[in-house]
This record gives sequence, structure tokens and C-alpha cells, in this order.
Amino acid sequence: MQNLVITDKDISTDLFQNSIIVHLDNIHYSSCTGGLECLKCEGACYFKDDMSLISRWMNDCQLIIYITKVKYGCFDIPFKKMLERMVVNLEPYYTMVDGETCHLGISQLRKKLLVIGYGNLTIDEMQLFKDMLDESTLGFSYSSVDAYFCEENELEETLRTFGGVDHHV
Amino acid sequence: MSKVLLISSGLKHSQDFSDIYVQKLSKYLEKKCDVLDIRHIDNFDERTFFAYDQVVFCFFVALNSIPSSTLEIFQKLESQQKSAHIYTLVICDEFECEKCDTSLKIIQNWCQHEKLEYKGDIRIGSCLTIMKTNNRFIVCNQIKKFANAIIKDIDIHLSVTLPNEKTFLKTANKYWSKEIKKKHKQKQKAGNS
Repeated sequence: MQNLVITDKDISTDLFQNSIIVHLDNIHYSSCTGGLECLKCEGACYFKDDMSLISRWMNDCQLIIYITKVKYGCFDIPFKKMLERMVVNLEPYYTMVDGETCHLGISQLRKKLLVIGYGNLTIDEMQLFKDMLDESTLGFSYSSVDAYFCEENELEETLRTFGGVDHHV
Repeated sequence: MSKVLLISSGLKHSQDFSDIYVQKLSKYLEKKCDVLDIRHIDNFDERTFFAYDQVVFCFFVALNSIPSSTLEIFQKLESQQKSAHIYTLVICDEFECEKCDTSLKIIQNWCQHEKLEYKGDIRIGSCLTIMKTNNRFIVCNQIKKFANAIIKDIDIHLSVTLPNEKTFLKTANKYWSKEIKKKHKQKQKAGNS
């Protein structure tokens, strides 16, 4: 399985040649209703839309790259809506991990997550976003989570720095 | 006396889990304030936000973070006049109330951006099962304390969950076993008929 790049902004396809690039504007997905019905039905989501396929790709790949606008120290709304659908990848039962209760991910494959956040951010907001990545389950277990930030107008240049990162996984 | 707005700002069906806590809070508030308005994401009108003295956001966390439906409310409020004091009632299904902290930090950050005063919160852990145990009395007492603080417009930070992890794991995993069995039976029934 190739790596996966999910972005809320148009990016050049040349930058991540070893990855499938998904632009949120080009896919159809409903908002999660939060009723946790999927946890009662062995991970079967009520909605049959593009997220079924993306969720399967996410389960299988080793590196996921998110390119997202960051607002108030959090993912922007379209990205957050997409992530909320990842609840389907969690087990309903609780387990203790490092002294904390949590839902384990269904996928056994531990992934690497790279997040490139853009926007007009303060240092506190960057820290808040990093804390959120560390503390949120985001639907999977990760072996490493890295976050980098830039202004919106610097995104292209920042991505060029990270271009090719998907070759080494 | 004051005008209070409770916004149930969680994802649409997560409100099935948070409604019990919102109802308790509204019961304690209604006798003590001039106006108590309870709104959901579907019937919330951002143009009336300026009219309230205190606003309480009530939601179930989504993947240990603030739900997108609450972020949508923030977006709607960006262009509105506002001066209310902000409180939060946040619930999570895990044992640790700390799983609510990311959401609270994001709300506090929003308040800072919008120059609103953040006054406090109540964090409720083990939210799927705690009201089915004797600990519901403790939850009700804490919600009552929270309601009094809102009326008096004072700072408050409360948290409540089941007494220990062992009890949590036992009751919460039993909850899911029951729900899964129930769903399975429903499916079988639908298949037969």
C-alpha cells in the first residue's frame, strides 16, 4: 500500500510521488453524527461514501501526511469532520495503556503521522495543536507523530522541503 | 439574576449521551435565573448571542477533542457582537476527565481571540455509565455546584468520574457488551421479518 496524503489545499502532485493524494474538496463525505452506532456494529459506518475507501487506505498504509489549516489550535472544520469519521476504526471496549483507559485501534499496523499545519498561528496555538495530536486518538495507533507549521503563503515552499519524505518509508 | 444560554453543541447524535447532563443543569438553573434558553446546533441563532450574560457550551468530546459542530458555532459567532461569560460542560466516555482538557484549551483559546471571559467548566468522565451507578448522586451535586457558580458568575473548575479504573473497566465494558448484543438482536429481528 502506498502512503496517504490528505490535504485541504491544492498541492502539486509532484511533491509526494509515492503517495495517494486526497483533496478534501474532491471527495464526498458526510459528517459523523456521533451516535457511536459503528462501534456496536463491528466498525460498519451508516454512511456509504468516499470515507469507506479512505478509511481502508488509512488502515493499510504506513505513513499518513495531513496538510491542514489550523485555527484556534485545532484542525479547521472540514478536516475535523473527516477525522471524526475515523471513530469507526476504534474498538468499542476499553483497555489500559500506560496507565490510561482508551479505545484501541482495530488496525494492528502502527503508523507514522506527519502533520503540516498552516495559518497565522501563535506559539501557544502551535503547542496546543501538538498537545492535541499527542492526546487525541485520531482513530489509529501511531509510532511517531510530527507536526510542522508555516504561514499559508509559505506552504508551497514548506511542502517542497517535505517532498520525497514518502520515499523513505 | 441573569440570562443564561445552554448550547448543546456536540455532534447531532452524541446529544443522546449529553442530554441527561444538560437536563440536570437546566433543572438547577431554571429556578434561579431570569431567562434560561436551551438550544441545539440545529436551532441555535447566533444573532441572539449578544443578549445573554452567561453561555454554557455542553458537548461530548469527539476523538478526545472539540467536536466540529462546536467549531462551526465559533465560526458563526466570529462576526457577531458578544460579551457573555463562557462556561463549559464537557463529557467523555473514558475514565480520565483529563481527556476533556484539549477541548477546554481550544475553547479558552477561542475566548482569548474573541475577547470573551472564560469562567469555568465541569468535566465528566465515564459518561456512558456513571449515571447508571450510585455515583450519579455525586454527579448531580457537582452539576448543582456548577449551576450555582454560573448564577453567581464566579470562576469554577470541577470534575467527576467513577471512583477507580477497575470499576470503570468493569461497568464500561459491560455497557458495550450489552449494546453490541442488543444491536445484534435488532439486526436478526430485522432479517427475519
